Amino acid sequence: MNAQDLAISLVYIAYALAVLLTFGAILTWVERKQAAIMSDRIGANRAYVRIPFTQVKLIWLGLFHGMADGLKLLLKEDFKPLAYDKLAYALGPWLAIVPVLLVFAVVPFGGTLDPGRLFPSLAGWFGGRTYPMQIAPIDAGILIVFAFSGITIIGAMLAGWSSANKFSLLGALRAGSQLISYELVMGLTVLGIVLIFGTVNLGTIVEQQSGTALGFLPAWGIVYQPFAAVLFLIAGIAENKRIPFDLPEAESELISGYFTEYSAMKQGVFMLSGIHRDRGHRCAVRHAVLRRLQPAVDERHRLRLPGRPRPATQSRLGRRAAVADLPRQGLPALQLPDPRAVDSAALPLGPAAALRMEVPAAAGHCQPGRDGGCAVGAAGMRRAMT
Amino acid sequence: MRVALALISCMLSLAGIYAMLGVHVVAVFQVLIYVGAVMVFMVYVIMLLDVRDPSFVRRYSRLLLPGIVLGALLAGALGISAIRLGAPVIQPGAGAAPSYLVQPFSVEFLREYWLHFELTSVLLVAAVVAAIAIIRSGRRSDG
Repeated sequence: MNAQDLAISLVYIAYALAVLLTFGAILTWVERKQAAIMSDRIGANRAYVRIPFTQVKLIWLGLFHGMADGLKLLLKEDFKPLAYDKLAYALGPWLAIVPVLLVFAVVPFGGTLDPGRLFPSLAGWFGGRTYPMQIAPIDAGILIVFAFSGITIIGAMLAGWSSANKFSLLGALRAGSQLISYELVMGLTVLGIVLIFGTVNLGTIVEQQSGTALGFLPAWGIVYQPFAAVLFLIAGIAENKRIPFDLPEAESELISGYFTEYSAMKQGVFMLSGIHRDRGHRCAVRHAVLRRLQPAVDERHRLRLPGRPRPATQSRLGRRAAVADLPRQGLPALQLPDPRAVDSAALPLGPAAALRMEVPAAAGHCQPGRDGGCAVGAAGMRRAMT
Repeated sequence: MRVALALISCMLSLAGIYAMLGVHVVAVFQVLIYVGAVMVFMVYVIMLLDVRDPSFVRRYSRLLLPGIVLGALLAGALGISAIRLGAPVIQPGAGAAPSYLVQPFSVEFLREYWLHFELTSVLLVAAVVAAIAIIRSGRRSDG
């Protein structure tokens, strides 16, 4: 590895980390909005940024809630339980997030990068070298995704066990068994893709999907294996402990499961790892199972000049993530009874219109996230233990 | 639980060594099987067994000082031997021969080592039978 390779790798790593960490904020907003829509609320729409020296407030549908949430998590006091295993307690969040970020090392996010063409002033230094847009173009791509995502289970279990709290322990037990079970489903569904494309290298799999199948269908994995794609989606939702499968952190019974005793950013790290784990799997296997918007070949021949905006990777990654994450909480809404019907039945005296008028006000104060529940939980647990 | 954590880190380091040697497949399966499956079950069992681990009340184990001394000795010995031997025998990353890629590896594996592979399944069956036998004998003595 020479200096040029190192520079490109560092740029890729910085790019991946920046995209991942900022997307956490936006996806938090998406999740809150979805939860709000499910329960017929408006959801996060209060946070704003005021342009200095003016009265112009930028609300933008509450998109700044991601920023507000992140700041709040960073600045909160970090409560700790009285008796706990300090090493495992400190290690838990890291074991949850680091493997998830590592997974992105093998996820390809573009075609081939030719730095000499992108920055003509550096062409001499790079000397015509090209790089695939992947941090680590390793042959065993999908295997690495599954190997690393297996480690996160240990993080969840360590967190639950080390908190010395029965709710946490129960949550960790549920998390452990659920993650182990659905890991199998995910592995087996991806096995079909590996058999079809005959390789486990993610870059090769993506390239093979740029052709057509049967002459007119795009050669995406979902076309070859629709059933596996659906199964994978469901298993992915279960792996992320999202709503129909949120037994490990069931808020009504376990406060928030294995991270009940975590507060401030440590808890934020768990939430982030949940979101990214989701996206990691989706991205990795969307390349494999679902699809690509444009053939990789297309991209290879596109000349990217520094002045021109880069349309390809960034926006595509974002759109893909946002679109793919939409169904994860939208799906169960179909099974819920209509909240308006329930409310008006429970309160026969109050007119339904008045009830609905209260909802936005409540939405501003009551946050659908798990932060409030967690803080109460930590304090309550401490009282119970002393 | 600390010991299990140490074992996990040991497995991960071993996988790291394999990866440095260019045998990515072995490294990945080391993580996938030992950390992702075996150690997950071990941690699971430890979690179920006893919540009152001594580490909850005492921060440092009594074996901390001997551990530090032994670790320093080991590191010193390794350092001295490294200085004596000079350059490493195997260059890291140089072993990434094409035969260690996934496809050649698996073909080679099933061609050359199929007998060993099948023998491990016999070993597994023996282990299952032994486990059942142990459980049954334990029950008999209880009843």
